[in-house]
Amino acid sequence: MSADLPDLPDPVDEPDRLVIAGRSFSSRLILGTGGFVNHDLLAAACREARVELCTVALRRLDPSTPGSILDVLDEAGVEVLPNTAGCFTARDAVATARLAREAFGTDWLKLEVIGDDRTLLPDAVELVPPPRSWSTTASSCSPTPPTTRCWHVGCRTSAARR
Amino acid sequence: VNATVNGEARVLPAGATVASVLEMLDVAPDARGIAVAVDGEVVARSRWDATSLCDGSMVEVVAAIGGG
Repeated sequence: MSADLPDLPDPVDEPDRLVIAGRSFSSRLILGTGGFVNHDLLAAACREARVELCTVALRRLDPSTPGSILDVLDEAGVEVLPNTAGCFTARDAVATARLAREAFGTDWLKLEVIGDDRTLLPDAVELVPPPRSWSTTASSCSPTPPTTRCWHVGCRTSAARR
Repeated sequence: VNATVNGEARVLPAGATVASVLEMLDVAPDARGIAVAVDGEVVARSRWDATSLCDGSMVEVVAAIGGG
């Protein structure tokens, strides 16, 4: 599998850059895009914070929502990192990840499975199964599973499992 | 065709496709950040025109939003 991994830049040449899967960023700040009251404020925040990577979510289409957040982020020169925000189970997260790959045209993913919708703390147990799910359904979720980047957020939630 | 679109029961014309559902929802064919699943399987954009719906089809249309 290591033969499929991209060549990484020499860390000696670029000691201060954040390198993920062969892509290099000068900023280590990854900005979430929730909670902004409008797209103008989001664009201004990206600009002022010199953000290069933003997380974005998927929800059922709301036809009343004006404009696409992707246009805003493009204009700000920001790359997108789709997440699986709002998922409570590994199964939901994998389904959302597949949709995200189609919607955003990227195989990057910030894997999130929450254990509680008030604290939004991650459910460490549910975060374990997805990689197995990826490999067992590799033909439909990723032609080359090693290029699908799953970022695990490991933190035990004190909330009761459903 | 009796289908469910984003959780709502819809009566669609015979021969309805994923593309015609998106047209009904005012989604342009080249709209960004949109993905569709039918009965739990993602339908690639290149297949929207060719994917017909039938009675009982469960259609999910999702869009990029700020979050997370």
